[in-house]
Amino acid sequence: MRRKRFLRRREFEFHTELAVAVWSGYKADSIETLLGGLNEVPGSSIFYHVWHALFRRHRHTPEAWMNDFARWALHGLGRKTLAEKLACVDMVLLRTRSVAETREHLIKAVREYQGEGEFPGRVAMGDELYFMEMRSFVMPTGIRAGTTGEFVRGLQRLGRNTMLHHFIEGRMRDGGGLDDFSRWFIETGRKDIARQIEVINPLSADLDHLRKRIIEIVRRAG
Amino acid sequence: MALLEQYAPFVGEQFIFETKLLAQALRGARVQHVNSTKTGGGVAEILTKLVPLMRDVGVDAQWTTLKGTPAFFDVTKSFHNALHGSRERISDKQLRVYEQVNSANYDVIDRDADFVIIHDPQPLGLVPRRENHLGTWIWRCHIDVASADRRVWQFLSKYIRQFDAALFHLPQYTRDDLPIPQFVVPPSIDPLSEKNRDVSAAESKRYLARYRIPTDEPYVLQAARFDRLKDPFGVLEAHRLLSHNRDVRLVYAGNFAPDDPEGMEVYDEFMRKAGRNRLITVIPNPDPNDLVVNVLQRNASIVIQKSIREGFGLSVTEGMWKARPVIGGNTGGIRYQIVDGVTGYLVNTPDGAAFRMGQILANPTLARSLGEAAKLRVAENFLVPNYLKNWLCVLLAVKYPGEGVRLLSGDGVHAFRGRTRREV
Repeated sequence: MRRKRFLRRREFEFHTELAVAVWSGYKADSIETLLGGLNEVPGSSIFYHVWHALFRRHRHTPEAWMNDFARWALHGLGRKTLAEKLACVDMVLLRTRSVAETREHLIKAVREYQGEGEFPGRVAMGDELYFMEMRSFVMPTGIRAGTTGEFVRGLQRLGRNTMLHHFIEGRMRDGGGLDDFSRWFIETGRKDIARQIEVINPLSADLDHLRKRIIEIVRRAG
Repeated sequence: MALLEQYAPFVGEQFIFETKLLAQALRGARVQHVNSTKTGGGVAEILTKLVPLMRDVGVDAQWTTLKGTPAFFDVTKSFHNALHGSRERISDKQLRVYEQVNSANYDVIDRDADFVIIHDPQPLGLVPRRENHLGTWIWRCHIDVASADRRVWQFLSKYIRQFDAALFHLPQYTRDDLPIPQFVVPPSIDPLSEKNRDVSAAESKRYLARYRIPTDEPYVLQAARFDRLKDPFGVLEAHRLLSHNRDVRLVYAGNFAPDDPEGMEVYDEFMRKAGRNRLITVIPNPDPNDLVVNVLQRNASIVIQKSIREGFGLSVTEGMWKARPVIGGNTGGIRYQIVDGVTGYLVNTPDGAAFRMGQILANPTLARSLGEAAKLRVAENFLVPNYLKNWLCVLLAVKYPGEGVRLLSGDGVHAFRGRTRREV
């Protein structure tokens, strides 16, 4: 088998990211205040409750595959229809290029629900949704890859936070919709690998499984 | 082996690696923690672990206590109760005692500290000292202040507002009336402690035999103070309801201090109601407490914490860490920890508790699934290395305020390029 080799043009520099949550100052206890919060909170709050929530939580049950707003609509407000509408935002996430788009989808979902005429009251004290924001710190790991072998070895050493940074958040970087791994393989002449990574549905498994899957793809491609 | 690395088996090598990377940006930073006592109480227990861990990753962490008087500690005990929502009579004279003792302790503050962390209300009155201090001041609140008595809160919040940031256990404990950033950092357990380490079969056998708990039968455990807020009588009622369906032992391991009249009263009432029920084992003041509770949790079929009110509920965390299915009262921090139906169950009534107990006992696959998910949840969120990571992030976030993602590189802390779309 002909070995595919490529020039060491640009190394892939693995980063990782750690974060802590801070209260945005907004909370919701009704549909109206939910809508108000969705309109007003900083983008990092939308990111925290949608994108980060999906990968922060347990992956063992279907319950886990639901953003925080949908979960609150279901368990806090007790509104299944609204919860479904908000959960559907997760389905368009893969095509969403920015937090602004995610925010628009959420607001649209709530407005549509309001338009259907149900007007639930306020939740009990203690059941409010607190809009949190993230304060994140990205760090170079010092691990770089110039070849597929180095890429595999690098990714084997790293964990979920690296996957979150490159494979999930990378899609929103620069608006291209591509994760960092795929982008690098394209730039370095390995579109065959990029195509296989690109089509992985990030919601299909937890980050550890996704990491192993990507490692296997790159290893097999040689 | 370095201290943090001892936790690699629990949180993974990658997490240790990442936390050390994060700490590089704080290498050499002087962080002074101040609280009221080095022995006894949850704060002392936490700092006993956190301070050495901070040092282990290169932060110059110190721990100082202020010197109080009996009159001062009487006032702060009243503050504690009032902040939990109780009505307390606190005179102006007592408020002056609080201020005077704090003023007399101004010199405990390290003038060169980059960060001064004040824990809970006792040392809050030290904050006027920051007038000539260049460091960053952070208040760490370890209690639920959501329903605080208004007068006490007004008195203390004038101090809190002088801080650069505050930390709370849960979002629900944040306050609308504080104009400073409020971080949410839940507490943690130490998997290496006597309460949470692995126990040997011999240890299990020894302590179960000591308390005459059969090893060939399932039992449900609540390990909690004899305190009405822990709803011991609700647990008894749940056990009674369950017994219509099947016979299962209830083990209640509880503490009370000799000088705690309410604890004694609750214990006496519990013993009267438990009666001569051969299926109820009551263990007052287990000794040694941590190891016995550890053994009891590890061998329980179900751990229950049916609190009516609970700050965070580390006993729930402990049960989850031991991969036990946990049934928790639908309150406070228990709701934050238990993902209902995934890592345990949240219940509102003894009936609900009885139902879930029956369900779990009848379905070992369910029990195993809940337990495994519970342990994973703790490993990812509520162990001491997570706590350290959160603290490091808070220190950096307060040092580099504002929105946006930061890049920590060898030459400093910068805004991370290409992140704008995430922020919009």
